[in-house]
Amino acid sequence: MVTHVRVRRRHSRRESVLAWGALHAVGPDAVLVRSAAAPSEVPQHHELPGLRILTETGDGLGTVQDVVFEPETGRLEAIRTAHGDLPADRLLGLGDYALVVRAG
Amino acid sequence: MNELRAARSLTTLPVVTLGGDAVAQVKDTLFDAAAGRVDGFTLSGRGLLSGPLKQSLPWTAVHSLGHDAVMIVDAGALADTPVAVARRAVQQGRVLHARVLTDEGAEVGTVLDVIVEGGTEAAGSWASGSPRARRWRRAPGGAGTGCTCRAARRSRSPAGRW
Repeated sequence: MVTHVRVRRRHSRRESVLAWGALHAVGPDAVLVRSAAAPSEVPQHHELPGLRILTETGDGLGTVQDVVFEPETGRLEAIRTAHGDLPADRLLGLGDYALVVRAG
Repeated sequence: MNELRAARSLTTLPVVTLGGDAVAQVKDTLFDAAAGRVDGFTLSGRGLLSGPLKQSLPWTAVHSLGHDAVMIVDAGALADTPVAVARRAVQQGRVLHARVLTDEGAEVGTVLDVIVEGGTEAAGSWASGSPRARRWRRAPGGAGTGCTCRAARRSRSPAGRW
């Protein structure tokens, strides 16, 4: 589930996050935000792109290249890797070392 | 398919929970010499400056022994072992460099490495004198199951029966 989006002002290095519920619409060119939404501090999170993927049997499946999600609800659809897409229902755990998926 | 791994190559393999956190790495493999099985692993911390851990990983707590990681269900699977017990276990189960003799006393060589069968329901056993050991030694990389010992044959040793 997508919970937040990370944003950065133009010409600024400081990052903040916007809650997914504050988003009005997600389009190919822009994200519309309700004007009342205020950005907040970045919560604790794991960096997903570039994270290594392990099956529950302990075999590596490469790294996360991208994440496919439903724009309406923010639900994860799939994890895109160099070896193809992994459907979201195979995900088991996300930690500091790896994303663990069910062996398929 | 379960994969055959040399015990030496398990060293430094990360121990990862199903939640994706790396809690330790494999320091050494413990063998139960009497039963001919892998007993478990001693652990060290991850990172350059971390030393050996007081906890060890019993074989029963291993969820799966894979190519890139040893998977466990969660960090509670690690067992606290007093250092003395672990040290005694390591010495009793010392297999590397042990001499391999036939039942007639002919010397075959010394143990170079131990082959461990990976996977989720692996037996994790080893046998130095089984016919399978000979087969594996003659055809490294060939198909086979179970867990065997790799021995270095002395060049001038008599052609003993395995």
